[in-house]
Amino acid sequence: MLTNNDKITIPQTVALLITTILATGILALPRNVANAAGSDGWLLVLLAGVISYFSSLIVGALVKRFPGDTFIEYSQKVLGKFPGYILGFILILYFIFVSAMSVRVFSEVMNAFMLINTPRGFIIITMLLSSVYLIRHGIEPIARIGEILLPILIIPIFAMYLTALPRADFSELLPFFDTPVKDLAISTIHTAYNFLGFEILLMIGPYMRSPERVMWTLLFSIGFITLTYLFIVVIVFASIGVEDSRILLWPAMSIIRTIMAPGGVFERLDALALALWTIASFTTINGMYYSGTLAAAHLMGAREFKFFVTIFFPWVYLFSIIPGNPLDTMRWTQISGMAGIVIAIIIPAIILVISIVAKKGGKTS
Amino acid sequence: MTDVFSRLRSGKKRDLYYERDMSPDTSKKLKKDIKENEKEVHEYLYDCDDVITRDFYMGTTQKHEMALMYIDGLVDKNLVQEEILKSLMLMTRQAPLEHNLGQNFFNMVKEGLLTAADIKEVDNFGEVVLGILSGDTILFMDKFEKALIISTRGWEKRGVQEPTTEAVIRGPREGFTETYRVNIALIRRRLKDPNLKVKTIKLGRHTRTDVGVLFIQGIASPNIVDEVLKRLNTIDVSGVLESGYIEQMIEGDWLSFFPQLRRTERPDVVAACLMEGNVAIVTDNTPFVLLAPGTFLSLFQSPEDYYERWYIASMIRLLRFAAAFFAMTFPALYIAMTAFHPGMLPTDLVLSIAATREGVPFSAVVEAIVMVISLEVLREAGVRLPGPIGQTIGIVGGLVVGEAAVRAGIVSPIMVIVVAVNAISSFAIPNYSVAIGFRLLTFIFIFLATVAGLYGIMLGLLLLTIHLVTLKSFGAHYLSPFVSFRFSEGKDFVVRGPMPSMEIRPGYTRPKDMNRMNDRRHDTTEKMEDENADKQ
Repeated sequence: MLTNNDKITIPQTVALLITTILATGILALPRNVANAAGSDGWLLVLLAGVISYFSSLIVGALVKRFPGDTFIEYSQKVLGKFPGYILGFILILYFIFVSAMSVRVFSEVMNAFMLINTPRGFIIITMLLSSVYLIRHGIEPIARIGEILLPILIIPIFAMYLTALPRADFSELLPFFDTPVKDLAISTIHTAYNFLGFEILLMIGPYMRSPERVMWTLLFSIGFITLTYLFIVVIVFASIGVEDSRILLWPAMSIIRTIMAPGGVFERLDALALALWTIASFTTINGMYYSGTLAAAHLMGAREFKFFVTIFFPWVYLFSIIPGNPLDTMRWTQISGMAGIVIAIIIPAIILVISIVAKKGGKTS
Repeated sequence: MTDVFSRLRSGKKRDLYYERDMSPDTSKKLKKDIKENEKEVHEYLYDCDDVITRDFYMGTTQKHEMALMYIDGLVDKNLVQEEILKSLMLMTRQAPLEHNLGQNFFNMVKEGLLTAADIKEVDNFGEVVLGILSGDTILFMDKFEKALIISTRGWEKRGVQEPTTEAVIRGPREGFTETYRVNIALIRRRLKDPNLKVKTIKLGRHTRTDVGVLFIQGIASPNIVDEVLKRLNTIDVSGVLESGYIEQMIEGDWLSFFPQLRRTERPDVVAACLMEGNVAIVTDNTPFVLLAPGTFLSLFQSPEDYYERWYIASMIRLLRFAAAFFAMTFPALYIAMTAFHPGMLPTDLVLSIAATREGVPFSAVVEAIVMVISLEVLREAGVRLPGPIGQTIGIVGGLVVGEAAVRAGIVSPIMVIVVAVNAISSFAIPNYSVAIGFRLLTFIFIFLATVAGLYGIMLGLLLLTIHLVTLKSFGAHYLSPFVSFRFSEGKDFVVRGPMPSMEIRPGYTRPKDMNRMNDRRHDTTEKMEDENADKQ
């Protein structure tokens, strides 16, 4: 149906997933887990990672069950024309909303740490325009950008936080297993928001060159993300303590401000850190925005998706300026996280169950 | 317009001259009568005073009328005298020919009398005229509807010299010259392989430049060879004076800052690239040879990377990448740091920068732009002026004016350092035209840094990455092997791996034969007994 027949390889899919999942949410992660479980925060990250992996397998199963189809097509096949159409519309809305929230959070971080006087609209619009420029080239360049930016993103993040190691006091992580199991269970769901992003597979699944290896792709991506989160949470807790992590809005960013770069060339590493968050946000916006436009193109049966890239631009911008202040933004990202759980886990699960019961899709049909 | 001119002109011959299509016509066949042939050629080459006609006859009893035509200065006169005139006029007198050879006479001359090496038989005016213009000598014989093209090309030319734009410490000193045949020979000397193919086509309506497409059959991907030939054949211009014409006509994205074909002056680079599956485009009249497909990495490669040991080569290549980065962003980084984020620099450094900026009337941005532009002017002036004066300009401009400007308080000394580092970094990039491209990007980055500080620079780098990712050259990703990275290719990447480990050719050209080496295990461990073994 779509003229764009580009396929992406497994390493490219892994890179695309990791860079899409990894976003500025990482900066607030230590605060969220510290508030939820205190010194057991790291355990929360681990649990959330495991749960996210098993939930993402539902999406993976759908990709394998309906090769060559996106969510738009198989939801209509399984649930019927009209309900599928409604679900597709919700999916588009979700992707636009998540792109808007990602760019908004990025602009909040920028305004807080780097460009204090720069208007928010400038940051949001320039960021979105760069994204539009890339997305118009299609899936393959997006995946290749992910491939290039992944090492540029990951290696400095680890290097940067490792410089905090000499001052780290790992006794801050004690006591272990102090939190009631019930609290842990609830907080795990909230922490799982940070692992959202794998739902882009609902749209880009059929563009994978070898969709039969989707489970490994997910295991590798989410496993990698879990380790990265774990590393950052442990370093933050160990260097500024659980109590301080609760107070600061973006604790992972704040400890970077306290790091003195070895050799003393730079007073602080903010510059590097913010360059990295720019990359992280950019790739997240790309993944979400592209999935949204792709969903729209499939839903309308359009031959070209580029048209929708332009059409969605003002809407993403409008959604991104809904929250009034940083705290408001935090609330909206919680809402988008809840919506994400529904879109990425619950709806795919329903479709999967119905398709198995009704014997639709799979190799037989 | 044509009417006005033709009315102004008088005389029948002139009208004929201006109205006739002067492009050589291969369908027009030669005639029997030698005088008519001569006349016809003269009509093509009317008003071309450098065309020489030499009428003579051969034999003593039975006279055979003959004529030579060539262009003065394009032929080697010695060759014409010794190998053609002498053998036809003098030698035949010593041993007179048999009578009544009839039709065999032509072959007798061609195969038995002429001692010139390179001879071709033609039967139409198109090839005759082109031959004369290319520096060959045409031999007409009376009563024959064909002629001989004798290769006597020999003109004043520059010898093989050391390439000026790609100098190396270790490596051959030979560079290409302006002569097509010499250049092909320089490549052939390095690749004594029957699979090295040379396909020559002529480009340019007026220049009829020889353009050779070289590739190694069995390595080069046929798709790339076909694509190169296809794109070359679509070129229809009045002239091709330098390979730059071809480069700009066949590259995919002419809006890009980056050249999509690699150009080199060195035969060893061409040989190496041919062995990696590239296709070379050799153009007559220029020492610059094009290589397709070009990649981003190739802009940072120098032949020395492969001649030196791999630690040195890798370190230097890393330095070049860093230099390219600074050539683009150094002034921008300075502006962003001082104007937007002074808190990120160590306090002492910020204070000393502020102290040096004391009394400077302009903002850092204005200062940077003025300094970068004046440096560009200095560079351009230094290139255009003859050698010794160029150096003087460099010293006067760089040292004297720079020092005076600092003392006068117009620019801060730190800005001089920033701009100098920026310029020197750009000269560390082996490819001059690319270095200029990076310097142009400097201005864009200065603008971005002025508007949005480090975020602007980051945005610029992202946009640049997007552009490079979407760029392709003859089907190869411009950024390979940065994208679709494979470990085996990683040995010739940001670092250059040890030579014995480079078993595989780079994949971006999709070579038909991936293996560079047959024997993958090179056993070079020292097994020879050392000198002390004897003493035991």
